Amino acid sequence: MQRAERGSEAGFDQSFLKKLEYLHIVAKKVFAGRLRAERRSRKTGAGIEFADHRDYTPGDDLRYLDWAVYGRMGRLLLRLFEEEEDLYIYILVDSSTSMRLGAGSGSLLSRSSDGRIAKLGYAAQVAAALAYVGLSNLDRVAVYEFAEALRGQLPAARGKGRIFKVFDFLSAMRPDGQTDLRTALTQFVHRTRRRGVAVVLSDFYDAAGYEEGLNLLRYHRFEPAVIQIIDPHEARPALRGDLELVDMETGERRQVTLTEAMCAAYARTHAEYCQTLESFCSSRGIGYLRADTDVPFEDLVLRMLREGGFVR
Amino acid sequence: MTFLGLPVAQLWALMAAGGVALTTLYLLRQQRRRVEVPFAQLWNQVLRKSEATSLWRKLLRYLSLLIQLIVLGLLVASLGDPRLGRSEKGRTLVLLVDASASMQAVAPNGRTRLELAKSQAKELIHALGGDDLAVVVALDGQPAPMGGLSYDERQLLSQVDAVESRDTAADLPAALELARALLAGRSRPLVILFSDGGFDENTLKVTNVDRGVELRYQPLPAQASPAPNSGNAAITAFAVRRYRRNRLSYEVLVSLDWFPGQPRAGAAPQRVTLELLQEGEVVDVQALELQPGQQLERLYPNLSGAGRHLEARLRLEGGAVDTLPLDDHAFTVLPERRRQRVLIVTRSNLFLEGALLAAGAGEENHLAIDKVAPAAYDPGRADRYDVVIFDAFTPPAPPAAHAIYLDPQGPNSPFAIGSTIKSPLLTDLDAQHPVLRWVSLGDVNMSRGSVFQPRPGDRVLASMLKQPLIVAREEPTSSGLTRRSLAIGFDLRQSDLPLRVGFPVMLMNALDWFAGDVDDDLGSLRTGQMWRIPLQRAIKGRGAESGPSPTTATLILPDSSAVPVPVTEGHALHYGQRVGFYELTTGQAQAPRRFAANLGDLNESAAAIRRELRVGGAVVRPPEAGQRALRRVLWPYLLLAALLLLGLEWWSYHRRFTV
Repeated sequence: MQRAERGSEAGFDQSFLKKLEYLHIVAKKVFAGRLRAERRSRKTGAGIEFADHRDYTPGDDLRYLDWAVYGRMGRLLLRLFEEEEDLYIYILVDSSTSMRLGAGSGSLLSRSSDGRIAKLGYAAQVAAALAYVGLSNLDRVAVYEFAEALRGQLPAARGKGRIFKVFDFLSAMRPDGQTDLRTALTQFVHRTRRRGVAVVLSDFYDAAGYEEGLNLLRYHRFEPAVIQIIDPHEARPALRGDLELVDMETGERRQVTLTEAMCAAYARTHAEYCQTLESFCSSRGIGYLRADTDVPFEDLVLRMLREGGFVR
Repeated sequence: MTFLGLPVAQLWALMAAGGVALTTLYLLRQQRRRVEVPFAQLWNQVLRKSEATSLWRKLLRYLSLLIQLIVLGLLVASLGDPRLGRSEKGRTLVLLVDASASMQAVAPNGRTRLELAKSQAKELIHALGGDDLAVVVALDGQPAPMGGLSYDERQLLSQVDAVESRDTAADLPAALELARALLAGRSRPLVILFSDGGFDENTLKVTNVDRGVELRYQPLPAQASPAPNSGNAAITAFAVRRYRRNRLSYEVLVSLDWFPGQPRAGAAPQRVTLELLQEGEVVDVQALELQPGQQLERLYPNLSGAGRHLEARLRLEGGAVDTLPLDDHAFTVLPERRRQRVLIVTRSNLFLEGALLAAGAGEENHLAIDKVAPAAYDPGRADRYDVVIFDAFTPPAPPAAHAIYLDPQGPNSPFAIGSTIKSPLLTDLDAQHPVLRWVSLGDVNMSRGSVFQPRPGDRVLASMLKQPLIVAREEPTSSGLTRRSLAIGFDLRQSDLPLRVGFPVMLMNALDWFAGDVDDDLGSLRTGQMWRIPLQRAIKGRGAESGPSPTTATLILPDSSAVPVPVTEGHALHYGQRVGFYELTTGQAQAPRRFAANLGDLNESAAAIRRELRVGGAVVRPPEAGQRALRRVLWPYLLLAALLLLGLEWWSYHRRFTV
């Protein structure tokens, strides 16, 4: 009962979870797993799907001898099968201060009276959904929280029962600190021996740039995927008049007098920024999805993630 | 540009203070709303781009400050009440509004002529150009401007409203002189007269308007013309006097005139009712018929009564309407019955005593006569009398009372004696003096006469070849009153004067002159004159001689309002403007002096309306219609401009043009 409530808090009801169970996280590469699961591996073994033949060597299991080939060609060849293994899915959630944007007076995971939700809350919901999809498919799912560095992690584990630990981990996140993708992802790749899919959920507001961090994942043979969390109010601000703009992460202040034209210019600049990120990702084979927090969460998970190729 | 509100210096000070305050507030750092943004770097990119237009934005900010300074300037300027200035084209006008008695005549529509004239004056003021400078002058017996020369329409209208009718005739020559003085050195001077034209013909003929001013005459509108059954019945004279022999009785003279509203040949006489009232009670009513243009006099002899206030009322009969009610009432006050205390200092003079007995005889003896021998004369006692008669005795010092010196002699004589002549004849007589009224001294014989050396101010009543033998003197006392003396330079017992009828008459005249009955018998005065009201009778006696001379007195007007009036040489001065009963008090313990005032002006009572006015033999043209000018008051427009600018500022602020 308690667990069901925690799931509901994260935005998951039973019917939604059922729908998630039909989804699979897409991994374009083939990664080596630990246990037999539903993923192809480069290992040949106890799978059911034929992979290749090799010459028999003494000691091999005679059950895998291909007697038909021996009958036609007189050679003892052993049938090799692709062994299905589990996938490592790493979900990295940005919990920097900028992810607080959109938060109301209540919980980060809940929407406020005007329908807004904190970016971090939205990211946590998406992360939870991805984790559930992975766990449902017997993949190993690890969740990381980062900002200026890796802050905490939920070690990779498998099994749907694990999802509640994921919920607890995500619920405990608090927005704080500056985004430093390079440092955080450097720590991530150095700590993680098993390669897998690395889904980065962030707004990618990194003054030092996001490129180096994402490239690190690629260089270390992870399959990175990017979900950019955007609050519509930051994309198209409706600010006017004499204001003092304060950067949420750096505390930098700037006194400005904003006009409608300047806000429109900002919207264009922001769109360019997002477009640049998307272009970067697409040019490097990195999956990219822009998630606006005003899009209903179910819609994002069930439709957009599938359309973006994150799940199938 | 002229500022009629706050002085220009104050306006500059206000503008400077307001401007400094506004600029300071503008330069102070504005408390800005703090907004958290997730990624300031993006904003920095945008702001870097907008810096190219920041100069324009700064200018827009200064435009906002400029608008506010202009609004401040407009508000401050409106406090100064600016008016359009004068140009060389402007005229200078004096608007003479006739406020004389005839302007109180009521038109058939119920409005007085003065109201109609004021309406005409206001219409002209509305039509004045912005450069026209004008002033309103009330034309009555004492023409006076109702304010200063002004461009302001409202001020001029209020000047017109301030014109009040007076119960006097209009002094047109004085008004024209005043207008000349007001217009001296002004551009395009013009005098416009709003009147019924009821001026004295002779005055109009001799009045010269060619000296420096141009006169225009605005006759009253046609609606002021009297109706056919109307006219003005007037009491043109109302006088009363006590009988000299019987001061309990008096007689009243009333003169009546009838001025038909539309004079025509063969006009029917007008029936009127004349009432005579004493202290408000009707004592006589007469029905009379007045012929047009003919004066009717009625004498009421042998009237008696205790009251002193007499009033005559005239009422038209037969449904006729009286256009000028002012002269339907007339007022007068009976002279006070006074008792004179007379002291005779004489050894014995039957002629003198007999004449005094004759003067005091009658139904009421108003003389209280005491006699004392010269040896028993006490100056202190003499001061308690009104008159002291010294018969062949010269006191060491003149008494405080009035005195008759019969043949004064010696160095103590108050009338210095130059020489003595034998058997003089009185060749030159001043019959105008009250003492010699009805007296003939042409063939009086005397054995000897003292020739007086009159002082300046003395009046020689009788002389022989420029050698004064009878002299009258009026001199102020230390308390400001007037002491009268009469000196006769011969002994009565050595003359045949006591045997003549003229002697008791002259003696009676002298006593009346002392008592002030001659010149103090005010009865009724005419309005439109400077009244010189003697205080002597009111102050004399009761030891008032020792008090200080009053410099002011209080005059209670017919409407019961009290005004202070100056007193000089024992007379209060006041310019009479209202008909009715007056009362003069000095604030000392004396009885008030009562008198009355009446219009008494045939010309005003005629209440004629002239459509054409001839002054100095030339017809006065009517004024040209003026061009209606723009309103000269600017502050509403300044405030409107300020409001518009504030609206612009509000709009530009909320549209973020100037922020």
